[in-house]
Amino acid sequence: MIEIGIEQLYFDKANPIATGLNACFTKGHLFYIYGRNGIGKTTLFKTLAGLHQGFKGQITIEGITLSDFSTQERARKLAFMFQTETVYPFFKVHEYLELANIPNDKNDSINDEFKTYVIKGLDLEKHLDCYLKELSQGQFQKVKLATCLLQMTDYIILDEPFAHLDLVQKERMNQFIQELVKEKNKCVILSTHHFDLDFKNNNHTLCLTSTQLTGLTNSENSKEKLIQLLCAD
Amino acid sequence: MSIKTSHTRLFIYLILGLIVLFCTNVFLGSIHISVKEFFRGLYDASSTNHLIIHAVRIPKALSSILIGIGLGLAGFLMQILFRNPLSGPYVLGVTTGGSLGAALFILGSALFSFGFIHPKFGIPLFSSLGSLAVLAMILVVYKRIKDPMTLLITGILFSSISGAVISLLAYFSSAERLREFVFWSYGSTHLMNTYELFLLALSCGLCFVFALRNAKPLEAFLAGAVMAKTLGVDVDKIRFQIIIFTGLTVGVLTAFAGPIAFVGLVVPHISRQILKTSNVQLQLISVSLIGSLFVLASDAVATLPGSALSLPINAVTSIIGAPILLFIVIKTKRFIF
Amino acid sequence: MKSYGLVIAIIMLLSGCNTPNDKQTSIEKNQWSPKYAKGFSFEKKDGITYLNIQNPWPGSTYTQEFALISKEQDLKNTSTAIKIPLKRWASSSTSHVGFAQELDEINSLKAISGTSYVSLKDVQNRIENNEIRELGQANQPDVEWMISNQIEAFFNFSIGDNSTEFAVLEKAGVPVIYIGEWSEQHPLARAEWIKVFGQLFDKQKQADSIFLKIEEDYLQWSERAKKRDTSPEIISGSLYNGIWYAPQKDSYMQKFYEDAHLDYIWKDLEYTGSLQLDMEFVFDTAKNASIWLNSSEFQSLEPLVKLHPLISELSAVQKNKVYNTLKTNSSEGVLFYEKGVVRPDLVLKDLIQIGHPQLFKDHKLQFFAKLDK
Repeated sequence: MIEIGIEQLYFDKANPIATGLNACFTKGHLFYIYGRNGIGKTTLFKTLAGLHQGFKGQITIEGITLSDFSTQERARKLAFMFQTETVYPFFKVHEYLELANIPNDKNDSINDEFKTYVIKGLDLEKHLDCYLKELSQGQFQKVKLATCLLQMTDYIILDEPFAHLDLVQKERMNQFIQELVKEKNKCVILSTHHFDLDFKNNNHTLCLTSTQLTGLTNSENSKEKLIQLLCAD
Repeated sequence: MSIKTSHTRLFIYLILGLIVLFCTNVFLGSIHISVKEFFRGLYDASSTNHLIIHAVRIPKALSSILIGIGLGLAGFLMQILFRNPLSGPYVLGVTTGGSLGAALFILGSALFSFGFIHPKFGIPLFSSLGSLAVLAMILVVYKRIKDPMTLLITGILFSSISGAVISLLAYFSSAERLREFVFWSYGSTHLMNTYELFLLALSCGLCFVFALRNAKPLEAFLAGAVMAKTLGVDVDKIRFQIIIFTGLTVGVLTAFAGPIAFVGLVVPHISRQILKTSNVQLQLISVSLIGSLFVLASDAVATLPGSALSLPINAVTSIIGAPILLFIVIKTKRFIF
Repeated sequence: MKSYGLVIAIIMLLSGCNTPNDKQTSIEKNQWSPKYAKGFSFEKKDGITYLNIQNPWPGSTYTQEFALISKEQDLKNTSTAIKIPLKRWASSSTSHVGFAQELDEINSLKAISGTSYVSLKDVQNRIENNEIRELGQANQPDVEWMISNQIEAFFNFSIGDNSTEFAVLEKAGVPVIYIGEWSEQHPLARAEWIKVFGQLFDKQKQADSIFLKIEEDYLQWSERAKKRDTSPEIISGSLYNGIWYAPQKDSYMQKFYEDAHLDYIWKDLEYTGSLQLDMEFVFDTAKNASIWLNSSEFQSLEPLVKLHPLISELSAVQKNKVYNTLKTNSSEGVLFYEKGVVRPDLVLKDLIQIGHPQLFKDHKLQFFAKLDK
C-alpha cells in the first residue's frame, strides 16, 4: 500500500501548488485521478518517482518511507509512465521493451508469459520489429505503457496514459488495465481527463484540487460532483 | 547480447577493412617502397627500410587506431550524456584545457624556463595537467548543478577562457614559439613510442570497459533522463562517471596527439547510420571500429604517399568528416536525436 | 691581329679598373645606385642629396624620397626632409642595430622594438641602463613616445604598407623611413644598406670604406672556397611534431651556400613558403648530407635525437656536424639577424669554416654553434 500524507506540494515554498493530499493506494485497485491542467497531477507523480523534492509531508510504500528507498529499489516497487521528452528514434520496439529489465539485476529476459500477455493486450505484436520513429503517437504511448508494465512492479503510476489514443484504443487500453489490476493484483494509479466514470469492481475516482485530493463515491450525480470540484478552482 | 546475422556481417566487414587499412598505412609512406623491398624491410634488420617500417610506420598506424577508438568512444558517450547530436569529445572543454597546458609549455617558455624539460616529455605532461584542471572544474560545477545543459554551457565557457589565455600567450611570444604551438595544434599521429601507445591503449580500454559494463543504463539514457531514473538508473552517478572516463580519455589523447578535430563528432553518427540499433554494446564496438578506420584513412591521405609533403591530420579529418556529416543530415532530413 | 687583341684587352682592363673608382668618388654625379642593393638609391638635386627608397617589401611599388639636409638648412620644396646627422632615432627591427654598431651609432639609438631580442652586448647594456627604451611591437610602435621624446627619425621595418599607422608621426615632423634591407636577396646587397645609414649619420666615407672591405673579403673568401674540390651537402630545418620544417625558399641563404661552396640538398625543390617535409622523405634524400644547419634550440645532440627515431640515422648527426644559429646567453637575440646582416663576410667565413674547415683553421664560429655530442 502506498500512503501519502502531503501537507504541501510546492516548487517554491512560499507558493504551494496543492495542499492536503491524503490518500491510500492499495494493490488490486485502480485509481483514476482527475484534475485541472496544471493542478499538480504530474508533479504528484514525479514526487512519488523521487524526481520532485518539493513537498512537506510523508510518503510511505508498504510502511517504508519513500526517501529510504534507493533508486534501484524504488524501480522494483514502482513503475512510471510520463509524457516524456523526445526519445532516440532508432530504438526497435522490442529493444525499448527490454529496457524494463534494467532495475532487475539478472540478465535474463523478462517473464515470457507475462511479456506475451502484455504485448497481446496492447496490440503490439505486429510492431515489435519497428523503429520508434515509425510509430504513431498512440502506438508509442502503448509501447511506453508496455515497458512500464514489464517492469513487473506491484505499483504502476501512469501520467495521462490515454493521451493521443483514439476512442477504440482508449477503451481497449482501459479494459486491459482493469483486467491487469484484477487478475494480477496490481495497483494502478493513473491521471486522465476521460469522463466515462467507471465505479465497478475496484475502480476508484479521485479529484485533485488545490486544497485536497477528494475521493468520489458511486452515485447518480457523481459526474456533476466531479465537474463541480473541477470548476471550483 | 543479441547479435543478428546482419550485424555480424557488418562487423566482419569492418574488421576486414581495419586489417586492410592497417596494412595499407604501413605499406604507404612518403617514400615509395616496392613490395619486395617492403617484405625485406619487415624482417631484415639490416635493410634500410626496416627502421622506417618498424620505428615510424607501424607505431603511426597503431596510434591512428587508438586515436580513432578513443575519439569515437568519447564522442559517443558525450552524445549520450548531452542527448545532443552536435556534441563531440571537446564539448566539455577538456581539450582546450589540454591546449592551454601545451601552450603554457611551448609559449610560456619565455616567461618560465622549461629548458631542462624535453618537449617530448614536457608537452604531454603540461597538456595532461591542463586537461585535468578543466576536468576537475567541470566535476566541481557538476556536483553543484546536475543539469547537463548547464554543463554544456560551462564547457563552452571553460573553452573560451582557455582560448583567451592562449591568445594572450601567443600575442607575447616570438615567431618560432608561436609556430611550434600552431604546429602542435595541427594534431599528429606520429611518434608515439611504446610507452605512449600503452597509456593510450589503457585509457581507451578503461573507457570501453566502463561503457560496456553500463551498457543498459546508457541505453536507458537514450530513452530520456526521466525514463532512466524511473528505471532505477542512478543518473547522476552515471553522468559523473561518463564525464570522468571521457575526460581522461580525451585528456590522454590530446596530450599525445594534440587536438584532432571532427572524428569524435562524426564517427558516432556514421555508426548509427550503418548499425541502426540502440544496443549500446554493439554501438560501442561499431564506434571503435569505425573510428579506427576513419583515422587510419585520414592518416593515409595526410601522409600524401609518394610525396615529400604531408598534410596536418586535422585538416584531413575535417575535410573528410564535415561532408560526411552533411550527407547524413541531408539523407535523414534531420539530425538523429 | 694579335696586337689588336692586345690593345682591346688593355682597354678593357683599364675600363675594368676604372669602374670601382667611378662609383666611389661619385659625389659629383647626379644619381648613383648601389652596386648590389635594389632598395635604395641616391640623387643630388640643387646641391641637396636625396635618398630614394624603392620596393621596401617584396612585390611592392612603394617608394619614398627624403631630402637629407643639415640642421641649419631649410627645405624650400615639398619633399620630406631628414635633418642629418641623426642624433636621436628609433627602430622597429633589431637588424638595424648591426648597421648602427658598425658605424658607432649605438648611442644615438633611443628606442627599439624587441629589446629582449637584442644580442649585441653594447646595446644590451644600454637597454639595461634604460638608455634604450622598448618601443613596443613592430607593427604597433609607441608613436606618442617617439613624438614626445624628440625622435628625429623612425626606422621602419614592415612587410606591407602601414604608413597610416604613422600619419601622426609624419604630422609631427618625424620622418618614417622604410628600411628594406631584409628584402634584398644577395648577402652583399643587405650589407650595402650601411650606405643608407652612413648618409643618415653623416658618415658616408666611413660607410663606403667599411662596405668595400666587406665586399672584398667576401668575394676573396668565396673564391677560395669555390676552388675546393668537394662541395659538401647540407640540410637545414627544424623538427616539430615529427615534421621537418625547412626554411622558406630563400635566395639570400642560397647565395650564401653557393658562395661558400656548399650544396643545399633541396635547392631544386619547387615551393613557396616554408617546406613541411615528411621525415621519411628527409631520411631518404638527406641521410648522407654531412652538415645540418639551423637544427633546433638544443645545445646538444642528445635531446635532438629523441625527437624522432630516424634522426640518429642522419649522417650529419653521426658525424657530429649539427649546428644552430647562436643565441647569446642572456637574451633571445640571434647574432645572425643583427651583426650577420651587416657582416656577410663573417657569416660566409663561418659557413666556409663549417664546410671546408681546412681553409681558415683558426677561425672561431661567430654566428653558428655546433651541438655537443
